[in-house]
Amino acid sequence: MIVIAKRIVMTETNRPWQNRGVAHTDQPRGLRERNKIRTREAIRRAAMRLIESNGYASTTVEQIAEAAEVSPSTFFRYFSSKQSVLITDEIDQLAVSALAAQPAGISTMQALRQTLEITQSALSEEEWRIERRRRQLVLSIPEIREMQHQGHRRTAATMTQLECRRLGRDPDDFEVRVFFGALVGAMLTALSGANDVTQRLFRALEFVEAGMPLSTSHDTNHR
Amino acid sequence: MGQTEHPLPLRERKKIRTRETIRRAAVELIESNGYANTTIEQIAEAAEVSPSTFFRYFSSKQSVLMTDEIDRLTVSALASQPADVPTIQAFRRALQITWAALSEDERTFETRCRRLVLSIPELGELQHVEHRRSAAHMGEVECRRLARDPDDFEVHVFCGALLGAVLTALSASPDMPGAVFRALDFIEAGLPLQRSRTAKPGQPPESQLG
Repeated sequence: MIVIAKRIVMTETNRPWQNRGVAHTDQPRGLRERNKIRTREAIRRAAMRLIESNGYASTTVEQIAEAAEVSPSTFFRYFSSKQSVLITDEIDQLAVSALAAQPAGISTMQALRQTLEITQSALSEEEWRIERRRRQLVLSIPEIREMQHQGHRRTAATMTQLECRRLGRDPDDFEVRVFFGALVGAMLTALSGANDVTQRLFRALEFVEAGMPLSTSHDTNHR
Repeated sequence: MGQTEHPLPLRERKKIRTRETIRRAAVELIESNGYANTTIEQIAEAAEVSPSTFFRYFSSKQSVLMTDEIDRLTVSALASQPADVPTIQAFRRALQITWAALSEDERTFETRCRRLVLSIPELGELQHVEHRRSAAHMGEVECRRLARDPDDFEVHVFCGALLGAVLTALSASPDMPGAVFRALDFIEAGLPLQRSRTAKPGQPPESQLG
């Protein structure tokens, strides 16, 4: 969320992956910029609180604005709609930057694991806690969930391009595309529960990395 | 759609025929006039049904093009595979059974339909929604078949990954079912991705996009 955007600025000097790919980091932010971030964050938090207690349908933009102590027109300077206040691609952007910085010599799975680790540690516990709350809300509102998933798929398309380049393959290589298609399918399924988001993602990634071995009930002592 | 096993009652067969007539009319019209310029009224007229009959079969203009039949038939064929067949093989067999049950004409039509869907950006999103639903359904079917907990993490992740791969394969190539089988082979091989042999060793990846 917003705190994360701030984090990108604060850490870009000692986290080289953030200087690649994502374009929103370069200039140091002035007071005005910081105020903007604070306002945006306040609006988001107010929206989450209201929607958590009153439900998505019965929460209005006016109520969110009031709770965040801004005018509705200020709300619309930051978000185009009630939907967009819950949606963010900031974590996806962190992941894309992290993947872009991976060296050519390692495997796709290694690169992805590193990407996930870097992304996980780029957020504080508190930020992950907020992110989990946000995810829970997103998952509970079908139209928002679809918008968020659409964002994830755009991220996957970007990652596919990056990976084709990193592996020295054609930009529309069938296998790389299918790989990411499978990965996104696995990730979105893993994300359909809101708890332990990163835990579930790591588990899904490990499962994919192992070649997705799914034993039948006959040859396993599973359960 | 070729329903094989037991012959269906007349009423049921008529329903399927009407449904197919509407789908075909829609594909014809959209192919020649474009998606945006084709109305439900036109589709209904070309299929010689009333608009209200159209809506008994399809909820919207979008849904008339979505070929969830193959998904649906494949998943039900999957359910009847023996429990000791691994998921990927069971899915491959299910798809073979489904595809074999279609006539040549139906196959051509499904491929045409698929090509059309790929050419209409508005339908992209809906396809993903459909696929998520199919993945959840397939997960349930597979957990039952493999005698696992209904919410077994690995089975559901596997099914999500499998259908994600299938959907991507189909958007990469309209070759039904060849592209899907290629994707299944790739999954069965454990999703191996190597660096291209033609790429120079140690060549740094470019980090800028676009």
